[in-house]
Amino acid sequence: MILVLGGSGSGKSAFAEKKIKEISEEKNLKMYYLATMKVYGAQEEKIVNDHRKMRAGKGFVTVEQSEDIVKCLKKIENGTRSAALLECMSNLAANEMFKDGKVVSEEDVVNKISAEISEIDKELKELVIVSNNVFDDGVPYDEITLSYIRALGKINSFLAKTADEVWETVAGIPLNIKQETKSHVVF
Amino acid sequence: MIFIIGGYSQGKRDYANNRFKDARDHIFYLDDRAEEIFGQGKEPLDILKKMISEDPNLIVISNEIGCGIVPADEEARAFRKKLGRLQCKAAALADEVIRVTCGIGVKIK
Repeated sequence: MILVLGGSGSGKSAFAEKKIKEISEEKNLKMYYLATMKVYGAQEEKIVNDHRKMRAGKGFVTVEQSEDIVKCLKKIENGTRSAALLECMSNLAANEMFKDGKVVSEEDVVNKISAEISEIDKELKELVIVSNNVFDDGVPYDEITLSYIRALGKINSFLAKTADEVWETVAGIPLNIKQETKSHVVF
Repeated sequence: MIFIIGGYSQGKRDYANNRFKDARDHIFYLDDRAEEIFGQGKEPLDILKKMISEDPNLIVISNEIGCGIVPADEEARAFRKKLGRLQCKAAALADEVIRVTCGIGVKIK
């Protein structure tokens, strides 16, 4: 599993796509795109359409799975010959937490997503997950939003622990943050 | 051009002042001028290139503002994304990119 983290507009999607493409070409895998955004209105529709345009002609089979992510496996023919790019974990976590006007507990969301991702990771030859960095704006949020932030933080930590590679994109530059070697501290 | 990126109050300007001679004469705060750059109706990349040609020792400083909860406000969300994309372009043009966290500058390009 490969985890790609990054802030808004930092180039995480482009990097994740490049990564899965390289792996799939090398190992001759079929590429799936696990789309997790739920379309509520015009704004989401625009984002979904923009991303579809970005992916057009790149050889992805799109699977829409805004919740119960493990169900994507039913739509993937041969797991051992497949690679999937899940985008994005922050949407999936929000969809699992805020369902039918109710708020699911932080713990339940973390456990459900962790278990389902583990299962997908086991079934597929390669899994690349894009997740958001939503932790650094220092804005005080209400308790519900905070519990969402904590849930996503825990999910990201779980994914990072499981992943073979963890990347963070900063201004379009991918940083390999799980490598053992020291980074180049200048000052 | 040197591009310095990092969160609020992480020591980006101090880093520039410590490391580069007469840094203050060359610092350009991208975020403060972003609206202006987007408003000119020109390709932001061309504006940056022109600035570099006018000052080869240019130091561009920008906040990593995309690392929070996605704002509900459409304009705020769009601005964050646009600035993020502009930062990608600045980084691509830069000779060196430094990310500063709690005063420590890490050379990422």
